Amino acid sequence: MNGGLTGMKKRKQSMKGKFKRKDWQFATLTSLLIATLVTFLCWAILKEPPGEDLTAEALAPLFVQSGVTSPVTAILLNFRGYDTLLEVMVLFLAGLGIWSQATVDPTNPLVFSSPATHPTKPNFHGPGPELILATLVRILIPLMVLVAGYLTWAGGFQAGGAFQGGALLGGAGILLILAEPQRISTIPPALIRFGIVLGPAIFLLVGVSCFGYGGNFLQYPQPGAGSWLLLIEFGAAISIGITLTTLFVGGRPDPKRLKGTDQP
Amino acid sequence: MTITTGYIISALLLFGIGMNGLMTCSHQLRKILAVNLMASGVFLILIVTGFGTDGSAIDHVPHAMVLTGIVISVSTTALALTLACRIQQRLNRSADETAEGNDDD
Repeated sequence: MNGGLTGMKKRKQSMKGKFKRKDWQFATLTSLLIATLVTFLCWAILKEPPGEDLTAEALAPLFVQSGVTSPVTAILLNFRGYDTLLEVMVLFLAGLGIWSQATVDPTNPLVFSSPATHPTKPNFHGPGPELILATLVRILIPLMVLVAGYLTWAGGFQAGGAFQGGALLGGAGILLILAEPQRISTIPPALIRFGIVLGPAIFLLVGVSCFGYGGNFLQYPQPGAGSWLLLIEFGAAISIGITLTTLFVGGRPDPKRLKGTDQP
Repeated sequence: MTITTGYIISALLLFGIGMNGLMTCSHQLRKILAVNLMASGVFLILIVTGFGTDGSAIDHVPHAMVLTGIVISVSTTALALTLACRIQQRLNRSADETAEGNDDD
């Protein structure tokens, strides 16, 4: 038994010496295979003649029906609304996955609550953000929220839409967390949860309520499809913004610590 | 050899570099970056196919798909990064424990 173990150890050590060469061989083999794959893909894509796709002229009458004049928004929310619903759900699931993995200290949201791995916590607690940063944030955040609202609304007739607006909202949230983490900790977690669920819930409700108008799922009633789309877009933008911010934080606020901070 | 051909070849090269990194790099952060690089390559191909050669109208469907893909890519990256952080935490903790055990001996 003992002899067998030492034998295995010896074999492992001798393997370690060979690993260097095997790594090199492996790297060469993979890069050769990938080069072949890329060449093949190049040939396959370039061989494909520019197909007789549905061009803008063929789609033009459909765009008029869609309720919005921006073609990308019409495709995203009307023609391929199902895709976008699933996309919003994927973002929601990613947020859910992150919240189920880790808790963060709500007063110090950039640090995982496990103290063992962070012996030297960066100190965000200080006497509050510096004057310039605080003033900048105070000016920038409302402006960012305003522009996010405009972008979301503008998605109906030009470049823009829920995702652009949501990304800007997410950026505003991340800036706020970096600058004033203590202010974030005063937001009740229930409100954050409500905000995350709002977009997918509105999307689903609108989709289901289309049955009431005699259409299929996500087949909006013909006159006034635009207002339905706007409703979905604003809900989705708010949810995307809040979800992106929570993705950045990397965990759910620890309720125990929240209670602790409420007491003093 | 049009501009579109050049775009497609460089996008595929980006995809290949990402795939190579995914297979040969062992560090998790590098793997996540490699997957992102692959995704960028695919997005570029989609954008180019919607571009419309010789002045024909722009096809908006691939562009909408890219917009969807970017959001999915951000979601998966965030989830992967959190998982990598958790793995690193566990590894650090077990390393600390073994170090403490050795000190006791």
